[in-house]
Amino acid sequence: MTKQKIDLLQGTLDLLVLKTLQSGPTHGWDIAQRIQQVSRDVLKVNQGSLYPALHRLEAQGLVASEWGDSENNRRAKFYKLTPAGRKQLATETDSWERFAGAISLILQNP
Amino acid sequence: MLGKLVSPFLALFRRSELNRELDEELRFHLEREVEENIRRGMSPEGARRRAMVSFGGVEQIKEECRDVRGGRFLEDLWQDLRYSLRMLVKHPSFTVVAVITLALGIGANTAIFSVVYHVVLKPLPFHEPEQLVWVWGEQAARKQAPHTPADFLDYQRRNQSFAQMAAYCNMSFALGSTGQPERVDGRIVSANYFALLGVAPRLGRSFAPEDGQAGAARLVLLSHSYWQQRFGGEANVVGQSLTLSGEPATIVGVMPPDFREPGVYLWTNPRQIVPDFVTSSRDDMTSVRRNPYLSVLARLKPGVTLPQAQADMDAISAGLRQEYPDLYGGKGVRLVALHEFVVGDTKLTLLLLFGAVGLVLLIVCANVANLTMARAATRTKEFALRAALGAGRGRLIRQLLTESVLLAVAGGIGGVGLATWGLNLLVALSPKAVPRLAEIRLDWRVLMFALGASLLTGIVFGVLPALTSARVNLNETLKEGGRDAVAGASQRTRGALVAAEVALALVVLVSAGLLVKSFWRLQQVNPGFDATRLTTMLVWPTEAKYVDVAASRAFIRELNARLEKLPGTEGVAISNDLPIRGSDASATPLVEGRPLFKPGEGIQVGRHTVNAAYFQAWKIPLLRGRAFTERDDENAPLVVVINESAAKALWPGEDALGKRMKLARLGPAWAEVVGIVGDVKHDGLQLDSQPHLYTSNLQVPWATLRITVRSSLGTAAVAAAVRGVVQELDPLQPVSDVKTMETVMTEANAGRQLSLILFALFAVIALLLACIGIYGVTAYSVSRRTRELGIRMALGARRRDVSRLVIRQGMTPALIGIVIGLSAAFFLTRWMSSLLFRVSTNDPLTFAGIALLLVTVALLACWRPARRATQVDPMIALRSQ
Repeated sequence: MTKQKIDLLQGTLDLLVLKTLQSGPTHGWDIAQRIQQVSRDVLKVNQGSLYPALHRLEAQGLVASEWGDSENNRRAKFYKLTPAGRKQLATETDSWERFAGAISLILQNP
Repeated sequence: MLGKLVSPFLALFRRSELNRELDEELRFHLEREVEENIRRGMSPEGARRRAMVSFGGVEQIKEECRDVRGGRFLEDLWQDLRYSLRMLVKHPSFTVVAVITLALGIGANTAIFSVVYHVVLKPLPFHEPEQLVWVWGEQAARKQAPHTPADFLDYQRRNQSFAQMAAYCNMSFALGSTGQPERVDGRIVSANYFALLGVAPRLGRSFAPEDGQAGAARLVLLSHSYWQQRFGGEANVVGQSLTLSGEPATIVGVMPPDFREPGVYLWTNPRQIVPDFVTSSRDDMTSVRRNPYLSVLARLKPGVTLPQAQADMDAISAGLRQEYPDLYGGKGVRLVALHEFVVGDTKLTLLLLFGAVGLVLLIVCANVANLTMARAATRTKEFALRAALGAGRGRLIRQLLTESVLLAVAGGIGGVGLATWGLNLLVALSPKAVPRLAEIRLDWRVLMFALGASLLTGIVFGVLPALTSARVNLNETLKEGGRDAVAGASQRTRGALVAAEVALALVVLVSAGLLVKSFWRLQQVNPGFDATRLTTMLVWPTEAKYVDVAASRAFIRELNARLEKLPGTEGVAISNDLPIRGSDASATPLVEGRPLFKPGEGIQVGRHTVNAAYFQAWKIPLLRGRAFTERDDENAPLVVVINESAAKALWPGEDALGKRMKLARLGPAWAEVVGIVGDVKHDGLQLDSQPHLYTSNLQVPWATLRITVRSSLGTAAVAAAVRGVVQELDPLQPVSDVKTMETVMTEANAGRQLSLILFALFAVIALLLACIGIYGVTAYSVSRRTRELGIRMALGARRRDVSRLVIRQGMTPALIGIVIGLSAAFFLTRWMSSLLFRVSTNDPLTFAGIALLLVTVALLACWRPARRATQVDPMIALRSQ
């Protein structure tokens, strides 16, 4: 099945979630929408991975959650970055860029 | 930090709230998605369906979210426990059978463990017990020889290794305060005895150094149990006076309850540096060096090892041999750690029993594993369903293991109950000779063992079924009537389990078989006398008035004369000791016409001193010459009667009758051999006949009088009559240790008999379990193969073919198990060689017999399922499924 793909995406998904939350607290559905929009529909977030990822990040203390009213006035669970999450986002972004840079160097090498 | 530790527990309590929040969160997402779809122009139903499809399995997402949350472990455990409990309650017959089997196994192990722990493993109740050593004399074949008072003083003065040395000798006292005198066994101990052990009395004081000086008053310390029993546990006993073998004495203290020395009820002080009785009229300084009766105990100096101390004592022995070559030839000293000495002989038996009972527990595991697998096969649909609902393989395995452990713990609780009951029985049945027996009880260590054993048992028997059952093929199993894939593998595993069970049972059975055969062999041994209608008892006139030889001779004569007149009496024997129980004395005779043997050489002969009617009363056959008569007294020339072994050993190839010998201890006179009698098993049935000699108790009187009467009256009547006669002669003289000779012989074998009973019990359990195992597997396979058997019969297979097929299938693992078990037993039984008597550890008859027994039992176990298989109606079988 697709299990392997999800596993590969896991670390990356955490990074994308943290990045999305950088612009302010929001709920799960909105995170999925934004990732999809910003990536111009290239990355489609599977809900089966998104919620476990959110709960995992929360358990790790990288995001915090609280219940609030959504844009359509319904109770929704809002996630926001914690200071630890902010720091994690910085290191993750840094190491991702170095990783991606290294990959493209290899790929561009004739 | 604290929050991190606590949060899983909080999560457990907030479980339902968190689950509700998770539901709400996911519902919000779904509805938001639906709204979005509607906004894009879909119909409400289409929008919802689309959202659901894109969302995927809600339950699986929930599972995963719970997974990443803390407290998952406890939450699952709680859930598993509740579910397991429900499953066990729902299948009562399975649960009951499994719990009973487990209770048997765990209970037997717990009981034997508590014996092993309290007798072997637990440290002795002394201060730094590892420093305590036993100092034994070693002379020729005697490994536990006592020392003379002079030896003890020399050791004390010359050694470099010991912080302290103490000496004691056991003694039987006539204790009188008021009324009937009482025979009580006690110990004369050097004044530093309790200080050396590091034990303080519970009441009063123990002995001070000056209590060991010459002329000190006679003081008594009571054992806790004797204090309870004889003095009603009253605190005012301290300071009370009583008489100890005719001497005034004062009670100074009571020892604590955990300080027990088997067969010792009181301790008394020596009134000089070495215990008394040395100074009584018969003893001069030579006999102080010649007469060994002291046991010696020592405490190592800190930092000194046992081998270092042994080297030190070896040097001292070498010095003594040089100084007194005629007395110390061949004599040495051997140090034994106290713990080793106390439990030495019992240890091996107990460890073997523990091994046997461990094998029984393994069989129990195999059996319950088998039961669990059979049940698991009927639960494949349930597992498949759970897997479909998002349970991972690990989760299924955990669930199954939880069930197993729960079962095992239930079995463990039953087992502890069984163990309590069994332990009482065991202690009641055990011979008094088992050391530290009274200390055995169920304490927290034993309970911890039971818990540990239960958990381990649960995992051991649960892991195989869990691994096999959790290998679920979803699609195959969920299809109605689909053959599950696990069946084949599971059947093979179950066969292997049965083979293991049979092999283990065979090892236990062979061990029990060898012990039974040894016991039987022992019963066949001719003791050399006739034990029927013999009653024996002890009179020990140790009071000062009997120290005079003439007085004790007169007492013996009068006693003999009066006893022979008792009605119903067929014979009266008076001797210094009792056959089977070992010899009190030995001698190394010098044969006339032969050169003086070198020190430590010469032939050791057991020495007994008996009355004229002794041989006739015991029915010991007189082979040549004559027995003693009343005329062999102090005025007649010294004569001896020897047994057949002594005649052969001392005068090989010659006629011993009329020959003369000299015994160092009996003075310079030559003693003539006037008779040769048959061999008697003086030192125990299991030993080969040794050389023994007898002297007349009128020529060689002895302090202890062992009276044995053959009478047509019962033991109680005989004892009462003898007690009457003794008290006519001396109203203060107690009579003790009244027993039939048959009881004495049974007691001598009691340890052997107990280990035999336990081994046999374990063997029966093992056999029963193996039988159930074989039956279970065969019956289960028949029930699964009903359709196949029906087809075979429809195609013309005869009943005989079908039953042969079933029996072959059941017998294959059993036979494999028997072969494995035989080879395992071949190697394992060598550990029990010291428990066997005239049976080889690989006795072919026992091995073959037990193998045959197991084959028979296995056939019986297969027979019923095979019969059921032949009764399969092909038509019904084909229509089923």
